[in-house]
Amino acid sequence: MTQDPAEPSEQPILMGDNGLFGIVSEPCAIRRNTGVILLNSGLLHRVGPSRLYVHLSRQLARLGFVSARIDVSGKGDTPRRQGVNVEQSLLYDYDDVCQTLHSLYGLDRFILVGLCSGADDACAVAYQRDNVAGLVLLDGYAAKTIRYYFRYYKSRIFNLGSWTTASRRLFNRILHIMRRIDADESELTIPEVRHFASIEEARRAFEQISQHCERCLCIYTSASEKYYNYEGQLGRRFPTFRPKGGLCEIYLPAAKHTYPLAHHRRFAVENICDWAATFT
Amino acid sequence: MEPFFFGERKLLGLYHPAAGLAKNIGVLICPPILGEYMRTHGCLRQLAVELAALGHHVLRFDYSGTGDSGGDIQAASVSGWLDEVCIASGELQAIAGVENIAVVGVRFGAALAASAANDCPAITHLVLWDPVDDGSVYLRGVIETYEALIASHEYLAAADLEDARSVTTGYALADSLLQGIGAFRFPDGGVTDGARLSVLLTDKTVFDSGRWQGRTTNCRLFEHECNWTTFSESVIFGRPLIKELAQQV
Repeated sequence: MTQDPAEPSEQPILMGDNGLFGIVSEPCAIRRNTGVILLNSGLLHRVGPSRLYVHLSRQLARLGFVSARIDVSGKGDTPRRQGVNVEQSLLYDYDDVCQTLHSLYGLDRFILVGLCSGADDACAVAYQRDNVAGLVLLDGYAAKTIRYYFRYYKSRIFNLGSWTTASRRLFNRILHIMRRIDADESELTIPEVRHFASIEEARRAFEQISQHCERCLCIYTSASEKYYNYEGQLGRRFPTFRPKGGLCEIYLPAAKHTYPLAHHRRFAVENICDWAATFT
Repeated sequence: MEPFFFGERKLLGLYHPAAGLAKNIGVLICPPILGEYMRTHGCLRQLAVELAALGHHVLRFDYSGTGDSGGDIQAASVSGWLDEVCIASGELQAIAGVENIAVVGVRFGAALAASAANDCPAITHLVLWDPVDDGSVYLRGVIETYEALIASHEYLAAADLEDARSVTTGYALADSLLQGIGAFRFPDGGVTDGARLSVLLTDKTVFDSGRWQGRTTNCRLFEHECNWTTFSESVIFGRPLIKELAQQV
């Protein structure tokens, strides 16, 4: 990979009518026709956990990519959009960033990067917008396969710790049900943090995305263990998800969801940059 | 909100202009560092919005090597961050046209603000939320948290483990920064002489220790679960807490 020796420059920017806030990283010499948009994840703002997105966008700029790390509406420093639902708001946000990057740099194809709910957002956008050329999904969606169950139970059946945990969970579950009998039902409603699509919805979305999205990189950490535990599982579960440049899956069970260890962050940044480097 | 970069180190500033009739005192917000920075971002943003609605010009900023500001944390230093508090305060004076600055500082950001106040006469009021008193105790907490975090990684291979242990914290801070943080002590004399000091504590044990009451008559307890000393990624937010901070300003 050719890297610019000079440091990229950055500028804070407010985009569109809603004042969508982001930081644009600009290389010394723009050498790619594809821009990168990093969507913030969950309640974290555009900096990303332990500055993951800052390091990533600066490294991408060294490879000649223009990138924007943004706060979607209602998160970080971007105000909520009034009168639209979450899905519409996300698409308006994406269109605002595309329009800004197009007017500033003439870009009209984009790689979307998202972690956790940011990965779900990236998929939702890629389903609706055909200028998404690449997807980087960190702990994104997946669905279980028979092999998943085999590996899951194989690792637990001879493990004493698993039996202890299972007993504790069963005890807690019984306790929870007993308490629930007396409790007010309204107190028991736990808000859903992340909505996972059904298998059928996901299949349809992935098929649609495959039509225009050239390549997809998925990195799963230990946080995905409850639904993902071997490389290739996503492709096996959704055989029609075939971006023409390929679907690349990396399983990194040693890492945690927010990459709190520095060398895991380095690993993620290096792998994403290597993968992105083949985009023009 | 008006975002911009300022200073040679390209610090990110987020300026919230006062709504309506502006008060003649600007508010500078000094965030905490490391994991605490991410956890308090939303809370400090909301505080800025509310203070601006109350007629204050407010500036939030990121220290160099943190957040969206320029540089890497490996190149950052405590003395550099202290300078940056003064630079940011000057920036706020220039943009908002105010003479006096109140600083809201959180954790290590509170310690930096209190120290910077000695060299920065514009700072006339400090509102400190759970300030760090002793840098060595704070640093020990950060290191212990990091060690517990490494231990909680179930599948680390030997090489990964070695890699993780080769740095003292998850942020791979430079030795000079670690030493700077460890050597840091809350500057008693300067603050009480120069600026008005308000302290807000969320931990009853710290409040009951009486450590802060000797430094200011305005030390208040506002219990809120912040879990500063454990590895936590939960966001710290609470309208009553924000209201209390705004009231202190």
